[in-house]
Amino acid sequence: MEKDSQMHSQRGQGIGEYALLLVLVAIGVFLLLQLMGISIQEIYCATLAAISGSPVCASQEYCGDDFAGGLDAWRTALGKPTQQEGKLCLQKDSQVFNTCSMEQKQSNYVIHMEDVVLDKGNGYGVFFRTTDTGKGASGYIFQYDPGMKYHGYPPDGAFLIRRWVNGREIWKPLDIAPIPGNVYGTPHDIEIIVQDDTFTVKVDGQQVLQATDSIYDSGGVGLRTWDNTQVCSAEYSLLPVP
Amino acid sequence: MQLEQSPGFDQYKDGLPEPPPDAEAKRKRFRLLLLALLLVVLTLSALNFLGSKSMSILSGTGAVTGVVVDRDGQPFQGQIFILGTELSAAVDANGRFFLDNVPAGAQILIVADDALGREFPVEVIAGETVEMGQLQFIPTATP
Repeated sequence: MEKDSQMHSQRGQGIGEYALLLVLVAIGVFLLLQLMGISIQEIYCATLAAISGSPVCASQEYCGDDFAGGLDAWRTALGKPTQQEGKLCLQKDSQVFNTCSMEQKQSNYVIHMEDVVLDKGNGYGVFFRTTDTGKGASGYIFQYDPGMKYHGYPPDGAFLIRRWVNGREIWKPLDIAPIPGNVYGTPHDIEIIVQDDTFTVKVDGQQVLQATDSIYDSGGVGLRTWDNTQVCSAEYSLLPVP
Repeated sequence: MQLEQSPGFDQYKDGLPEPPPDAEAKRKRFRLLLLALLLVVLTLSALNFLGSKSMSILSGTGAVTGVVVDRDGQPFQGQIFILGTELSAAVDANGRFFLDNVPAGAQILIVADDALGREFPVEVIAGETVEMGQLQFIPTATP
């Protein structure tokens, strides 16, 4: 009887061993994806999108503002932002930060600025992956910078991406390209895709810049103007990367 | 089993049937597979850790020193930062700076005035002070 019981217990693997196998495979896959910089959420969203045929995860907005209800969603660090005809307007030396995005400190997202019109001045910037401590902003900025026409990029200046450290802009830019025209008075849609260590900027749907950097891995969104700039934007949204 | 149902000798004329699979050998193979998987998981964990910020803490810290001068070679009193850290130091009236507790490895030192910074790469060695020599800070013409 005892021998029979012993023989019975030695047959095949126990359920615990199969469970351990599954756990090890799962941990291994997770670690491998992490090493390759691929997020599980992205795979989940891509799989759902492939099955359903629509971008399931991309439908949920992280943050957004159409500026109709005032500027409560923005914290002013410098200057005096104003609301004009349902638009957010910045002039001269200004810095504002979107409270929602600064609190969430997301890593990957898409910033969309709708109908941005630069009326005059040397340019404006959109901060991303930025934190703003008592020392000043640290993170990245995209600059729509016609002022660069005086510094090697005539006749219309340049788009550029650069780092910021403790309130200082760092030379030299991570990427820079000339502005192709229609600088002033024309509405432009700005899209900044922030994914892992790659940042892509599109203006009116056309890619104008792409940079890679891994210093800052998360942070919020802000806007900046300088010198005699006057700029307004109709809508801002922060979306998951599709 | 009835006697009539018992196998006859003619059924074994080509030899004995294959023995049943060795359960013990199968168990050993399964455990080897588990062990191999465990090793893969441990290796991947180590690789992840090597690329993490925790690793730079474990690899120790060192110090950097140097002298900052302006376009004319005169001492420049600005600020020093290490990119991606909270570390900072002020440059003294002679242009000299000293910054301790910098994580070992490749770092980017920033020399800055109130508005602009310039990058200087430095390889920090744990437990040692790296002399960076003379760093020229030229406020680049930017808007």
